[in-house]
Amino acid sequence: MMTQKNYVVMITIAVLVMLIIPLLSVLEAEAQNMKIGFILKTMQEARYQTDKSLFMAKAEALGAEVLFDSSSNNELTQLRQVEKMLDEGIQVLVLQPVNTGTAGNLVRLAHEKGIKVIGYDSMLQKGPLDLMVMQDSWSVGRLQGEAMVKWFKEKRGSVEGKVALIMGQPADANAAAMSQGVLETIEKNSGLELIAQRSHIAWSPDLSRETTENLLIKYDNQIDAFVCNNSGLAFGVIAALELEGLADAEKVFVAGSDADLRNIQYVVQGKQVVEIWKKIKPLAYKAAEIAVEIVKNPDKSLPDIAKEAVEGVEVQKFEMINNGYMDVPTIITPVILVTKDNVDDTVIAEKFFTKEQVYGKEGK
Amino acid sequence: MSKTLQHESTQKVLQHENMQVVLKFLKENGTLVALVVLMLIFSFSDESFFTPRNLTNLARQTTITGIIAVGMTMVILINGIDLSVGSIVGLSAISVTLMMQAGLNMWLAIPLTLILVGGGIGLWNGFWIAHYKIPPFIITLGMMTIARGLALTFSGGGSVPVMAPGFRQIGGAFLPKSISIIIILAALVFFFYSLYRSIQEKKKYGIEVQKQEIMTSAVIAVVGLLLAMWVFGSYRGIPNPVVIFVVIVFAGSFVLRNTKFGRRLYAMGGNEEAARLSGINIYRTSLIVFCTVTVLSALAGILLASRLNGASPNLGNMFELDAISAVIIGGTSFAGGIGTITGTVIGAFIIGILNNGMSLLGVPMFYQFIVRGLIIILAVWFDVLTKKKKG
Amino acid sequence: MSEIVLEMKNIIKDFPGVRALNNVNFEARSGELLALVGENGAGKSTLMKVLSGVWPYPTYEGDIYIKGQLKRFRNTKEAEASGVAIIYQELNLIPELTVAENIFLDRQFTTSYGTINWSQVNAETQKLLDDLHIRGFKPTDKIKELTVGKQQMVEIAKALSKQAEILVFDEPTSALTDKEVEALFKIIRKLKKQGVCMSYISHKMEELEQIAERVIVLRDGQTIGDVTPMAELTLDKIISRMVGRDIKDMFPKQDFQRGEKTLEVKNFEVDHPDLPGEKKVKNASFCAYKGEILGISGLMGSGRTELVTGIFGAFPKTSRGEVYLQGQSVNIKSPADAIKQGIGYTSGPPLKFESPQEAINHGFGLVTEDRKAVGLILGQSVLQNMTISSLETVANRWGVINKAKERSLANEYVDKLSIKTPGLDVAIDTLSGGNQQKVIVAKWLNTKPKVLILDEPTRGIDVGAKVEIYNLLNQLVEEGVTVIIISSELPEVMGMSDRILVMCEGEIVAELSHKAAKKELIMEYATGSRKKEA
Repeated sequence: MMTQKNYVVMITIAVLVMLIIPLLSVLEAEAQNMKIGFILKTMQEARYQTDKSLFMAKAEALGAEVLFDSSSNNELTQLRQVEKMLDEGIQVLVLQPVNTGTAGNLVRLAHEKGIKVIGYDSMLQKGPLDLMVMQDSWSVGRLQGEAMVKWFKEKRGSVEGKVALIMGQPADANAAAMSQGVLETIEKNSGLELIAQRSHIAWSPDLSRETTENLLIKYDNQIDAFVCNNSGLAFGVIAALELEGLADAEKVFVAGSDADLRNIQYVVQGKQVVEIWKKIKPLAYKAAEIAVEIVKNPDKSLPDIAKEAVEGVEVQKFEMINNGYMDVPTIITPVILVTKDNVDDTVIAEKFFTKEQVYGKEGK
Repeated sequence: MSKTLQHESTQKVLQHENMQVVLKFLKENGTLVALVVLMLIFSFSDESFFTPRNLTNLARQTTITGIIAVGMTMVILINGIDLSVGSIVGLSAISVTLMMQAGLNMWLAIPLTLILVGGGIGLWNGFWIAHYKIPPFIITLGMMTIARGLALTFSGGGSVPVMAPGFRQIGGAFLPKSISIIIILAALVFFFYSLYRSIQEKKKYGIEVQKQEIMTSAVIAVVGLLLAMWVFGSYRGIPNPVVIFVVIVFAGSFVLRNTKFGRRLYAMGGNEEAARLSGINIYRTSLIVFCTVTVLSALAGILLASRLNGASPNLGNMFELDAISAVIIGGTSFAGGIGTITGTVIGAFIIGILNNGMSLLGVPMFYQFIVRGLIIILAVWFDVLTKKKKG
Repeated sequence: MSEIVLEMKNIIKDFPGVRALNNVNFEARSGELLALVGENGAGKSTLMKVLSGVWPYPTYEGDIYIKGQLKRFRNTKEAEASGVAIIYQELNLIPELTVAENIFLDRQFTTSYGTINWSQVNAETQKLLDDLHIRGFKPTDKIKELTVGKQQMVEIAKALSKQAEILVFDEPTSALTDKEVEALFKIIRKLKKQGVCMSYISHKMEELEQIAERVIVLRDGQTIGDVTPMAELTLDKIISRMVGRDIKDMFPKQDFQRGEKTLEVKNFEVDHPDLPGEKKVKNASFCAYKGEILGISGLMGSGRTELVTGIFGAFPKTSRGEVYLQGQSVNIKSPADAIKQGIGYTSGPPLKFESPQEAINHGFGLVTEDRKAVGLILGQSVLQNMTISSLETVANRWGVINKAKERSLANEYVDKLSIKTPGLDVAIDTLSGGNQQKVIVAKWLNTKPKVLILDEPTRGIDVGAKVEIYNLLNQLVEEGVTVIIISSELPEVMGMSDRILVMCEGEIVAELSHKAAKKELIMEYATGSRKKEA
C-alpha cells in the first residue's frame, strides 16, 4: 500500500523530472543567426501540413531556423506556445491565431520583448499587428456564392431553393469573412432561402455531420445547397448526405474551402461540387520571406516591406486593412475555385496533389 | 387505546401509505416521466421531432453516449469515475482509421483497437487506481490529456480519412425492416414471459406481488416497444449502432443484476472495506470495471469513426460530461452502491433528446450548453427531493 | 428533595404504522441523574428527541413543562434556549475544526468590527474546560486528533456552554475507555452539585448503579412501573421490566467436550500503521480447539482486533507469523484466502480504530455502533448482505446467480437463526441491532467456516437479543465450529468463554480457564499491573 511518504516522494521526482527536461533543451539551443517562430492554430485540416512544410522550406532556404508549433484549436495552448517561443529567443513571430478576437494580447506580449508579429491566414481583429499575410477570405465566400448561383441555373433552371451555411468556430474572423460573400449572394438572389446559419465549435466535422442530419430531417431532405467555411465541415456534411443517398453533385450543392485531399477526391467523384483552393505556396513563401526580411532589416518600415514583397507578382496584392484597431499592412494571396472541370489544371498542375492521390491508383 | 384513536391513526396510516405509493412511483420512474415530458415539449415545438426518421436518428445519436454511459455506470457504482473516456473515443477513432490506412483489414483493426486502446488504457488506469490507491479522478484526468495527446501525435494533428467502404456500414447500416419488426415482437413476447415467470417465483416465495409495479412496468414496456416498432418499422429498420447498444445494455443489466460480479460491484460501492472483509477481491474487480468502461469507449470511438467515415483527433471532446450526466440523471448515486443500467439508458436518452430537439429548433450552441446544465441540476435536485420525502 | 425541573406528561408520538410513545409520563429533578433504560426500539431516543425539539410540536401529543412552564418547542434552537441539551451517540462535531471552533460554532465572540475574536473564543473555551476539570487537550486542538472519549468531553462542554440545565446523555460511554468513563462520571457528579438535571440513556447496568438516583424503564413506548429510586431496584428487576420476562440466565454457558486443535498461531506480529518500527501485535501465539469458545479480552487498543484481522488476511504486507489450520500450514494473504481456508470474521470495531482520524480515513466518520463500520453493507438488502461472502454457493459456473436457490438458502438461515425481518429485500438498516448481527452470523455460516471469529458480537444489542446471540454461539460450537470471541464486556467474556486470552499492549499476557477467570485478575493483566508469567 502506498503510504503518504512514498506518494510524496513519487510526486517530487515526477515534478523534478518535468522541470529538468525543458531546462536541458534550453541549454542545448545554440544561438543561431536567424530564428523565426511559426505557430499554426491546428493541424486538423490536411492543408496545414503543406503550410508547415512550405514555410519551413522557404525560411530555411533563406538561412533561418524555424521553431514550429500548432495549437490544436486551443487558445491557452497557443498562449503557452507563444510565451515559450519568446523565451527561446525568436526574432519574429508568424502567428495564425486560434481566437482572432483575443490574439491581440499575444501580439502585445511579443511587442513587450520587441518582437514583431506577422499574422498568418486568419485576420487578427481588434488588436495590434505588424503585418498580415492572408488569403482572400472575402473572395472565398464570393466565389462559393457565384458557383452556387451558377449551379442552380444549370441544374435547376432557376436560382431558387434552400441554402444552409455551415460555419466554423463561433465568432471567428475568418469564418465571418468567408461567410460574408455567401450571405451577400443569398441576399442578391431573392429566390434563395437561408434556412440555417450554424457555427461549429473547433470546426468539428462530427458536429457538422450532426447538424446536417438534423437539418435533413427537419426539411425532409429538401435542402439544395450546403456552403461550408472549410473542407472539414464539408466532409461532415457529405458524410451525412451519403446516408441519404444525396452526396451527389447533381442533387445537392456542397462547397468547401481548403482543398483538402479528401474533398478534392469528392469533387472528382462527383460528390462535392466545388472547393476553394487557397494557394498555400504563395501564402507560406511570402510569410517566410517577409519574416526573414524583418529580421534582416529591423528598422525598415513595415508597409514598405509588404509593398516590395508583392512587387512584380501578379496575383498578389498589398492593402492596408483596418482590423478594428489599426490599419495593418496586408498581403493578400489569391484563392481559386476548383471544380471537377479544372482540377487537373489547378491543384494537380501546380503539384499541390499528384494525379494518383486525386484519382487513385487506377486513375479515372 | 380507545377505538376512535385507533381508527384515526389507521386513517392517517392509510393516507400515508397512499402518499408513499404515489411518491414511490414518482421516485422510481421520475426520470422516465421527465423523458416523456421532454418528448412532449419537443413534439409540440417542432413538427419534425416526432417522426420515425428523426426518432431513428435520435436513437442512433444517443447510442454513442449510451454505450460509454453503461461502462460509466459501473465505475460510478464502485465510487469511482473516469474522465478519460472522451479522449479514448478520439484515440480509438484515430487508431482504427490509421490502422486501416496502413492496410490492415477492417476486421483486424477493430478488435486490435478495442484490445490495445480500450483494454490497454483500462489496465493502465486500473493499475494506478487499484494498486497505488491513487484517486480515480486524478488518474483519469491525467489519462484524459495523455490519450488526447497520443491521438494528436499519431495523427500528426490532422484528420484521417477512411477508404474501406465496408467500414461505413458498421455505423451506418440498418437491420432490414422486416427483421426489425420481428425482433421487436419477439422482445414483447419475451418481456411478458419473464414478467409471468417473476410473478410465479414471487408467489412461490410468498413475496407480495405489487399490482401497481407490474401494471407500470407492463405499460412502459408495451408503449416503448410499440413506439420502437412504429419508429423503426416505418423508416428504415433498426440502425446497427442501436442493435449494438441494446446488446450492451442487456449484457450490462444482466451482469449487474444476476451475477456474482454484479453483486460484488454493489457491495464495493456500498462499503468498500466491508466488501473487502467479506472476501471480495477489490483489486481485480476494480481492474475489470475500469477496463470495461475504456473498452466501451473505444467501441464508441470506432462507431463514431464509422459514422463520420474518418477520424479527427479532437473527436470525443467532452464526451465524459455527457456520459457522467446520463449516469447521474439515471439515478446512480455518486456515493456508490446504488444505480441501474436502465436508469442510465433513460438518462442517456434525456440528453439525446435535448441535443436533438434543440438542434432541430436551431437553438444556438451556447444556449444548448446552458439548458443542458440546468436540466442536469433539475434532475439531481428532483432525485434528492424524492429521496428526502421517504426519510 | 430538590425541585422538579422537567415534566413530560402523556406524551404520544406516532410514526407511520407504529406508535413509538404511548402515554409516557415522568418527571425529573434538579441535581439528579435519571436513568432511562429499555431495549432498542423501546422509545428512549424518541422520547429524548421530543424533549429536545428534534420532533417539534405538534408532531407529538402531550405536554412538556420546564420549571413549571408549558413549553412547545418548534425546533431544537428553542429547546436549547429553554436550557435543554442532548449529547448524542453519534457526535456532532466537525473533525477539521478545533475544539473551540466546535464549541462556539455559530456563537463566536466578535470584535467591534464584526470579525471573530479568536483569542476570546479560545480563552472562554479553556475556562469552560477548566470549570469541568476536563484535561488532556487544548482549545486549539483539532477534533480529528482527539480520541473518541475526548471528543465526547468536547460535546459535553459544548452542551454546557449553552447554559443547559437539563442535560440528556444518549449512550455516552459506548466508545470510551475506562479512564474516560471515570472522568465523565466525575463531571456528572460535579454537575449534580451545580443543580443540573440529567437524563441518562444506557444499556450498561453497572454504570447506572454508580451514578443514577432514579430509574425509569420503557418498553414498547410505555413506562413500566413508576420512576423508582435506584436503591429500591435490583438489576434483575430492572431487566425483567425491560424485557417483560425473567431472565434467569444471562449467560447460558454450556459445557462442551474439547476436540481437536483447529487453529494454531505462532509468533504473529502486526506492524503499527502509524508508528514505524512499533508493532501493534507482538509475538502472539495461541491455539483454538473444536468444542470450545475462546475469549480474547483486553482494553481497547490492546491489539485484539489487529491480531484476529491479521490472521484473517487484512494486512498482507504488514503482518507476519505462522498460522496452522487443522495441522496444515496456511498462507493467508487476503480475506478471500482466509474464507477459502475456512476462517470467518464478523467484524466489530473497524480496523486500526485507534483514533477517529483513522476511522474517518476509512470513510465512516465517528460511528459508535461498529457493526455499521465494516460488518454490514448498509443500503443493501438483507438477502444481499447474507450471501455476499458465499456467492459461489448460489451461482453457476459462469457466475450467474440462481436467485431462487439464493432465496431459499437465505430463508433457511432466517428460520434457523430466528431472524426477525419483514422480508429478505428490505434494507438491512431497518433491522434491529440484534437481528443485524444474526444476519452477519448467517453470512459467515454460509461460508462453512472451521473457525469463526466474532468481534464484539453483542455491542449495542439490547439485553433480550444478547441471550439469543449467546445461544447461537453455543449452537455453533455444537455444530463443530471453533468459536473465538473478542469482547470488551467482561461479564460476557467471562460468562461465555471456555478459555480466556488476555491481551495487553499487543502481547498475549495470560491464558485463563473459565474457572480461574476472575474479573479483577483479568483487569490486572489487561492494564499491565500484572505481568505475564514467564
